[in-house]
Amino acid sequence: MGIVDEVRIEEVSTDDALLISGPPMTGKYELMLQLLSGNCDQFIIISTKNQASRIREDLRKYTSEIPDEYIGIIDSVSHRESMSDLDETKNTKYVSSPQNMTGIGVKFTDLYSRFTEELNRGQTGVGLHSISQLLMYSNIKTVYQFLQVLTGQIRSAEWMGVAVVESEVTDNENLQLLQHHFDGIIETRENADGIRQYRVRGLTASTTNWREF
Amino acid sequence: MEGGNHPTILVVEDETELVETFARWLRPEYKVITTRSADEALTEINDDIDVVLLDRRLPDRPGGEVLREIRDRGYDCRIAMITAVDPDIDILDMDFDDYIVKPVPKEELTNIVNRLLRLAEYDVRVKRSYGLASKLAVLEAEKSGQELEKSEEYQAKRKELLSINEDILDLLSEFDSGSFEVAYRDL
Repeated sequence: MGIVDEVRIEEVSTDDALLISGPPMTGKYELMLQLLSGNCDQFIIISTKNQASRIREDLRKYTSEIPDEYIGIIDSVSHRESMSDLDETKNTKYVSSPQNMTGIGVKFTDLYSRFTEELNRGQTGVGLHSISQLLMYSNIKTVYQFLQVLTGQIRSAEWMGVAVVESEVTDNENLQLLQHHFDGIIETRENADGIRQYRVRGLTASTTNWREF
Repeated sequence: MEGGNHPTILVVEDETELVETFARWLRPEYKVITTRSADEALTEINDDIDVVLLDRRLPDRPGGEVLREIRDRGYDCRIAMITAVDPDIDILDMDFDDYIVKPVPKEELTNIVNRLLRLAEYDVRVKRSYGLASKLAVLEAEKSGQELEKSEEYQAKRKELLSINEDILDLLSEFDSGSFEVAYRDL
């Protein structure tokens, strides 16, 4: 039971790999956190946008009672903004920049081992926010191959994965290409009245209607 | 490795007894080519070789030089260094995938070879996956959902991609954390 209303998407299963795709300011990050917190009990968030402390805070808007130990974060933001050395902990890992996908992957593997071997609070959910930053610094092939390993790891552990991408800044062909790594796509938009909506593509025979969230 | 042939292992080791032992252990499952010097190894290296077991100390040149030359020539086979002592700082920067410390028990050797072959298979499939997905993406960006549904070419390619991604997932599910790291380092 979260503090904010949970979004329950009935089409979604707890071991799906999902891509949230939409224009800026349509609630993609919030939807990612809501989907993860509504379906999972422990979390690993790969962040190219927000610092680790901010993500923990945001996640707790949806799942208040979660101990720090069950939130692993790979932060590729703080390094650029901090002059002093960053202290890594068991659960907070730092990577120099979103360009360093090898670093992100290696740190993720580190957390992956710990989450599979030591933690058993329940289902693990992995968030990636956001693919757009990865694309800003690297070519599409590298991002595709990074996601191949990452989603492969998530699938082989039968975890849930939710990644975010900005649809408007990403070339349509690249967007199509990356979608091949996901079971379903959740599109977001804001309608003319300023209400946020989503629809689900790929998980059922036909795309769902737009629903408010 | 494509075409269902036996995977090919190149052994580069100057101790005759060791080379023969390795070859005995690895045959008949694999095709084994044995060489005893850096120059011989560089003559034998080619695209068909999947895994190289490379002694760090060779009579004519250090194994590290052979490693560099193999990479410089653009071969992306998987390479394990064989060393007499635990590897130290100076070889950690080198572009190899695993190392074996002498003496080498049979089980360790076969484990490492299997692990490297899985990585090699993974490489081949990841390249194919990207190639296919790129082609599909061009069609998906141009055509409507209905058009795609009717296109036999599209459906066939899509099926092929799904099956390759399924194979990749099977391989990944056998990976240990070391192999995942190698996969990320290769990005």
